[in-house]
Amino acid sequence: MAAGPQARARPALETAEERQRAYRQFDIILAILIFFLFMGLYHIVAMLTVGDWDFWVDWKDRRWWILLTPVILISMPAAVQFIFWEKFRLPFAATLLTLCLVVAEWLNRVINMHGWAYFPLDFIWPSTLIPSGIALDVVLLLTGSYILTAIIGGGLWSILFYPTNWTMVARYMVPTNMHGFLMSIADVMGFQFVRTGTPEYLRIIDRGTLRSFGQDPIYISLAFAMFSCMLMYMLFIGVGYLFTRIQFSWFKRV
Amino acid sequence: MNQCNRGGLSLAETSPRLAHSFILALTVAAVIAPRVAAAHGERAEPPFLRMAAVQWYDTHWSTSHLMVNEELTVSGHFHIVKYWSFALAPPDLAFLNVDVPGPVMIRVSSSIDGVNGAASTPLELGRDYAYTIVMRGRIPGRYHVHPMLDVRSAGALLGPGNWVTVGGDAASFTDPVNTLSGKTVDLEHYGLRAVVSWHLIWILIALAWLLYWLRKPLLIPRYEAIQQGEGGSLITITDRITGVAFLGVTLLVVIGGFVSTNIRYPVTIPLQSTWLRIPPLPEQPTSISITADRVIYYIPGRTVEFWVKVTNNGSKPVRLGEFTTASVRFLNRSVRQPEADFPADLIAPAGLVVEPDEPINPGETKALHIVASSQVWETDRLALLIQDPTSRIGGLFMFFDPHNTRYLVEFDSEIIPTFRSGNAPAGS
Repeated sequence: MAAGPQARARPALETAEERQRAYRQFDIILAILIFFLFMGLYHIVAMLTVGDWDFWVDWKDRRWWILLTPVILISMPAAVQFIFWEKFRLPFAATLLTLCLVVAEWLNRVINMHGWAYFPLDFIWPSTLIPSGIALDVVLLLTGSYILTAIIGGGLWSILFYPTNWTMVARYMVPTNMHGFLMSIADVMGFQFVRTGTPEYLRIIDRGTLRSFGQDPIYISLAFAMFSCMLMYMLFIGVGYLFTRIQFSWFKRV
Repeated sequence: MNQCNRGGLSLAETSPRLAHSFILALTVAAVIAPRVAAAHGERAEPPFLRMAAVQWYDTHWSTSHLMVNEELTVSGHFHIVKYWSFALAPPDLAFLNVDVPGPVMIRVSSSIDGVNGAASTPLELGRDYAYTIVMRGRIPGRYHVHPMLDVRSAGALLGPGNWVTVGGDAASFTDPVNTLSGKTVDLEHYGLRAVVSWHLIWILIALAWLLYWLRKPLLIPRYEAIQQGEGGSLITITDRITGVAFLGVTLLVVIGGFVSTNIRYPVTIPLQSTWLRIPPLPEQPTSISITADRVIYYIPGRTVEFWVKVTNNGSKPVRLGEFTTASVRFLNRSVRQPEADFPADLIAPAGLVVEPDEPINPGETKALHIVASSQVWETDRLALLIQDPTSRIGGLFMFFDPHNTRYLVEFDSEIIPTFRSGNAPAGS
């Protein structure tokens, strides 16, 4: 006995409750998958680019760490923000990504760098971009404009990085006398906890020019990071646009 | 009838079963078969790197057994080869490091010629340096501990290694450090509670923001609304007010945390990085000179033979006691005995055969035939010199006078491999 055309013409979801339940199940499944996908993708981006500046407390300096971290890591939130906002009007892409990144980083630090390689967690803790992500999302929510989000949100993304993480890193910049050398606690930890592949001369900290604007290079780095984040945001909005043009046809069919 | 039937099953049915069985067998073998992997990383370095860059000597490990929180001192000398390999970047900046499997031991201090080794330093070719590295046990286990020199743009140059066992309980490890503000902190756990607390605060705020949106129908209804041109209705006044509130809370927590941190830690310094120019040890008078006539390596017999002329310009007769290269030592047992605690695998059992094995008097030039024969040429992969861009053998000859005063002479020469038994050295 074959199923007739009449049987196939009935929709699978007939009532509004059934549709809502199905939509919710779809949301949950996709949310879980996207969470793990973003954890992997964003973490790989961070490890391959920011890398050592985020791995070790004695690399968290006043120039490269506060410059490279926000500038490079605004790339993926910009692209995903475009997709989430343009297709779903959801203003939480940056927050979701920064949360995924922090979770993935902690997993890596605890299981890999601490559990396997024996580095103490107080030496290898990751920085956080969650406040920067919230700022970027809220600016998009309030303005609805990618240009304004790039300028205001991108600026906030970079500026908030340093004060957010200073609450954690400040205690490691307390000075000590290490066999006649003035060293911060972070420097002492880097010296004591042996990394055979990281000799002292390899540590890229505080190197650079533009030293005639006062003693502290933080402000130069922050200003440069701010403008670079704005540009990076606009660039990767374009990446998000290309993605939606190419990859979204399957979602339409759903 | 299916000709591939096996016990009533078709090929399509048995192939997956065979594949599953094979994978299961591999998995079981992978779990039960492997033993502990232990490697001598220095043997992975090309021979020319180990012979024509740094020669380590007098290496001494204060102990081979220590407990967690107890100390081990690795000390000795290293000689920077005068004729540094052309294939390597010169040692214009180097760092005294130690090769252990990660921070299983912490480095308490290090020094080169008594100067703090925490900074990098340029090294002079043809000169000698004394080093000391003090380690403290942290994670129980058995580890191979080497001194190591990292040279900028050249890489890591490993010294000799010795097995050291750390016993005790890792949980008992402490690492107290005194700060200039008068506090003593334990670097094993310092600041971790505050770091985790701040991370948890931000994770909770992020989750709250996400949950605010996740409680609503998410993807398909919103997508449909946008496709129908009703995207503007998806963001309400409540959403905007909530967003402003979250941003306000975020900024307050950031600014408040920043201000309170500055109050709590009023004195901080930036990360420090510097380099020093550490002077080498005083130059030893070069009262002995060596010129090479010929140096060959007889591969089947694992033997290196030197035909050299030694001139003694000193005031005392000397005898050849040792040849060392790539941390391997060939000792003339009639002149010099190995230290009891030196790793036996780095001492060639057959030693150094010197013909004639007699003193070289002051003012005399003597032709010596020196044979260094040992399987260590092969086990340490030094025989692979033939595949290196620089086919030269380098090392240190050590001469001793009757008062046991040592005279170090750097040696460097072309070396030619020999494969045919007709050229085999006498007595092999």
